[in-house]
Amino acid sequence: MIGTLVVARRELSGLFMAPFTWIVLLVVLFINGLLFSSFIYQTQGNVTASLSESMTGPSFWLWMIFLPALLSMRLVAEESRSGTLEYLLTAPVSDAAVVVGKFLAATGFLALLWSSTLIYAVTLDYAGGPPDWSAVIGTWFGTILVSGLFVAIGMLASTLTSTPLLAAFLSMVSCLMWLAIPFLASSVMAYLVPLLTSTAAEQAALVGRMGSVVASMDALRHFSRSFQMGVLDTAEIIFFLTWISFFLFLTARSIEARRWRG
Amino acid sequence: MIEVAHLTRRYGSLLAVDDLSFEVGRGEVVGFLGPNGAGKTTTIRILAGYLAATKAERLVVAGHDVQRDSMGVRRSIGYLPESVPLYPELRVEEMMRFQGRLHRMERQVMRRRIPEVLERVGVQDRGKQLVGTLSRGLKQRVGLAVALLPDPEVLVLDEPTSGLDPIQRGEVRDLIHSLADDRTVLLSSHILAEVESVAPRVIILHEGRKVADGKPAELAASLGGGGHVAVEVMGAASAEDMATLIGSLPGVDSVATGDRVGIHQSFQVRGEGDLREDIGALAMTQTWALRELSWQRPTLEQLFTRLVTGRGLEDLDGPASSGAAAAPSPMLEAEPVDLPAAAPVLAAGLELSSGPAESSAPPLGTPGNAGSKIIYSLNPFDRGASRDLSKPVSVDAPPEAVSGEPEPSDGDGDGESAS
Amino acid sequence: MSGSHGNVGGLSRAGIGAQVLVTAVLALTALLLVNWLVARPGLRHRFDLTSASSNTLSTATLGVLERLESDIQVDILYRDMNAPLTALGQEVIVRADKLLVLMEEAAGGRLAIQVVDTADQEAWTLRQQELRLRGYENGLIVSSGERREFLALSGDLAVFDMGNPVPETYIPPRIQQFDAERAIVGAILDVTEGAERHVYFTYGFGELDALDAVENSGLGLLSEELEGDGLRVHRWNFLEDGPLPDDCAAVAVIGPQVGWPEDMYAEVVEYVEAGGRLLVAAETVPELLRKSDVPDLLAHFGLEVSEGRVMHPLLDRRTGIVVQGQQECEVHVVTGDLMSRHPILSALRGAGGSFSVPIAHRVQVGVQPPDGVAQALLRSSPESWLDAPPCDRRYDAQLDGTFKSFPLAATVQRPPMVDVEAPKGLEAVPEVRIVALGSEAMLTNAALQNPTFRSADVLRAAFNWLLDREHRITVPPRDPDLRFLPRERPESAVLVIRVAQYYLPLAALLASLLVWLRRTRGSQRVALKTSRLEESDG
Repeated sequence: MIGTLVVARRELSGLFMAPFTWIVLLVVLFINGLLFSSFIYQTQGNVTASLSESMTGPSFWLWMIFLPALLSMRLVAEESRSGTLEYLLTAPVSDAAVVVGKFLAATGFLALLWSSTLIYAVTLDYAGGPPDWSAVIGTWFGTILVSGLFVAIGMLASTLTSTPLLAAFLSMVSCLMWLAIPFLASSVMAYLVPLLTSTAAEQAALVGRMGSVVASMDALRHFSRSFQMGVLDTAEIIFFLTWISFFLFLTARSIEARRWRG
Repeated sequence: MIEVAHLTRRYGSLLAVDDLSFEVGRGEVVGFLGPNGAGKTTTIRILAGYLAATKAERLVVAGHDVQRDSMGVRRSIGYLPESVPLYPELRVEEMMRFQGRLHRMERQVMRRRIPEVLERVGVQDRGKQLVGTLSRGLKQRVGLAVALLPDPEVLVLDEPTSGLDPIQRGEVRDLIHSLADDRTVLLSSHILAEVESVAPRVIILHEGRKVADGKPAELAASLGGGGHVAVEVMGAASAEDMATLIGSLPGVDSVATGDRVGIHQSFQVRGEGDLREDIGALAMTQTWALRELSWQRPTLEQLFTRLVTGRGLEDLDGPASSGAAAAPSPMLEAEPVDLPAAAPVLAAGLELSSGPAESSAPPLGTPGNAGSKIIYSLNPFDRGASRDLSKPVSVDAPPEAVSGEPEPSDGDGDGESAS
Repeated sequence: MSGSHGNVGGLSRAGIGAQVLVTAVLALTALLLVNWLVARPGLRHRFDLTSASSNTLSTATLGVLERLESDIQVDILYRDMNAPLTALGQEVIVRADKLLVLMEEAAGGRLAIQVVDTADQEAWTLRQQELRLRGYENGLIVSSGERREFLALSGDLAVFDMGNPVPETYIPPRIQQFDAERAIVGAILDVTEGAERHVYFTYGFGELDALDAVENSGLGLLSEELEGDGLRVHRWNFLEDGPLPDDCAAVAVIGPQVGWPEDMYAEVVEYVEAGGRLLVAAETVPELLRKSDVPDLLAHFGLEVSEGRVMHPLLDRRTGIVVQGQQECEVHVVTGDLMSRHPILSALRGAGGSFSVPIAHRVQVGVQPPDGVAQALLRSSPESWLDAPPCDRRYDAQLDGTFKSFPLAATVQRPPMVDVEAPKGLEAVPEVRIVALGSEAMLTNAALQNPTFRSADVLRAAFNWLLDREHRITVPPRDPDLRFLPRERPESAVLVIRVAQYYLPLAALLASLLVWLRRTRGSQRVALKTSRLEESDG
């Protein structure tokens, strides 16, 4: 536990010492700022809608594809290449502590990034349009969980190769895939279902059943049905936490496999 | 402190470490020697807990089983990988503090220990500098400091001098020397001189197997006996006659007839004690023009070369590691032409005469075409193991000859790298 | 040192791979199990963080959704509304959508939401035709099988306050009330209730034939329209069929020409008094109308029907003066200003439509019910006059009175007039609803076939209003909880935009420069010093 925190602290401070991170931070803040201004303008000053669009709109999901990939590339693949991963993996901390520490650092960075919306909210409050604070913070909490999930996916993809660019690409593709599960599944189903069933009723039943399975994996849906609306739902929180743990577990196993692969 | 018994490690179908066994006692400094790909780094990584062993009967470091109590090993070992992995964005002090935190050191202990260790490795004034801006040699020192911070019982250094210039190399070597007083050190190198100068004991690895283990001097003795006298003369008599004459001297055991280069004939004389005076006197009486008369002690280089070129490997493996009586030297049986690598090892300082007319002549002992600058690398491992060691390598200038004994100065010792 | 010691590496690569795979599969299984478990209703807890509890459904709604037995589909029709309601309309539809998502969760798969793509003109038109909608109406369609109900965005889902558009005293429009939950639940109850709804047309006493689609005087086309709305049309004659069946949702009396048997009249009155629904249309011919029970029936519920018919003269096209003594016109074109503010006509009024009522008697409110509302539904033009019987269609100032606007139809809405059992659970509250039309002609095939009359929509709306049930569910209207930047202070938005667009990125830039300076400066100074040292060392 202490090891995890030590690693997390170093990774996070290391992130803020690298120009790369600041460039990412600046780009995201600048674009988000532009978008937020346009939301304010479009909605004629609707506080709730602007904040919600800024925190949960398409731009958020677009960032979710790129940022975790870049971060995990930095935290795993680049370190693996420069050898500092070897240093960490021979230090008296467990693999799990290293993985979780890096995960916490990346997620913490994203959490900090998303808290820029909280600054927008403070400004709105000051400017005379008080936001619904508890709901806004609930949504912010949700964005952190989503970031965590995507960082975990990105880290898993990043451990599979020590070429940073390839790792970033792999992470991006896996994050995109995770987001695109519903679309992929529906296209696959459209192709497969007629082969598996004969009657229309069977088809409908199969589509329905598979649809519910797919929906249970759909992060977008889980997010939009709870945090995005300003609801804390135990089932949704556990959905994100369990998937994060699962991917971190796989990441730790993948790093352990390096000890065998060499 | 380190016990390894029947360690095997495979990378897929590649056998990197093959049934390796050795022990390192408390306070010992042991050098791991071998060409790249011999399994040094793999063994060290397994000991440090970075890689898993495919199979091992016993793997104990500082009293902790590597395979069961990896954390215990990691806590009591100071490990410096070859790449010297330090975070470039951190300051030296921050890097040290991070290491301290990873080792759960108390804050006060760290505050006291960090300057201490930095001073020990001689970078006390670099505490505020970013690691990324350090020179390679300083980085190596900082890496050592990081490894030393938790005061480990065992220090494991993988190629601590690779990538350094000769001066830095000397510094690091001295540093290791000074560290070796109070802890067990296992270091690896593919450069013989490094190991020879630091480690009283050397373990030679080749293709994942231990081929020799012992003190450098013992190893040399066990291979080449007491050395030989190299003679190059110009005389009226035939080579056979000259050999017979030399062989008739008291104390001479054998005379091997070497090449004839131009008008000079070379011989290798073995026997008891230093025969140079006797041979010199003989030359005087026979009015041979003496061109060389030198005492040649076999170095580890030669030993190495012979081991890794496969010749004499079977003979050397058993007796050398057990420290038993010297086996018959392969050099004696071999035709001199078959041992080209040994031939150019000349002690320049012992050259007796070299006329001005001959000073520009190609080095003696060069087989075949005297005009060509084909020589044999003195350091068979510095270009990587992929090179065929039995083949000559062309270099621009003839390198300085190496001999640990006649020239003890460090500066000369560093000069052997043909970089 | 025994052989058993530390022989972990006995596994091959494939073995390790398989081991990792197995553990991964096990972990995945555990994960899915945990997720399934925590999604069970008993273990799942939702905490609504919004200050207006906009994500919490009322218990009544949850009750309705849990007891759903048939599948419900909700179509969302939305196009941006015109200024100044654009932002508010968006807000309402977004909120309604959120509510629907909550309802979908609560309904356990019984409720499906579909957003109609209004950008796809073809699909949109098609869907409108399916739903028998006219014009571009924003709102929701709640349907169950063939039965559907439309909830207009403005009116049903939310009530807008238009504010004051005058620049000097500008008050922005706002959402006065957000009623989507109640509206949606009511619609769900309406469309799921019972199996089919039956309308009984009295027959055999000179009434128009509800099943005759051929003759001009038949009602077959109207019946078809009603069937399209999910209603079943029957003919009913007390003598042949006995009392009204229990499943009777409404009785329609279209132009009887002779009196009913006494018990038939009693049956109808009794049915309506207990909370029944009645549509009456008067026979055209005054003598026949007098013979029928229609005037008595209407009088019983406080309405009066004249024997004479309302006419309006043709005007001189050039002067606009009434040309007396000429052929008069009996087709009343009812435009928006002649329609009352009644739910039956609100959609038509809103769309700026009109329709025609041919040959109509005056139907006016005689006695206001003490605990309900009786009101005129539509009027004739102000130049109309009432032609006294026997309807010679000639204006006679002494007989026919002055020119004015006459009501041509009326409605009554009141609680049951006799004691009835109180509704239980989610049953609808019984209520008397009557639509009295002065003209039977507007219901005939001839009128429905005439493209200029456009009376079908009004008649459908009238039947839908008649059959609509008030449900006793207490879904409180929602706090609109609107959060807007103050419009009267535009500088507030400017501040927010400045912070988001400039100050925050600028602050980050400054922070990065600060970090960069701090990280490099200290290092370089020392580096200079030591490099000099290094030189001297060398």
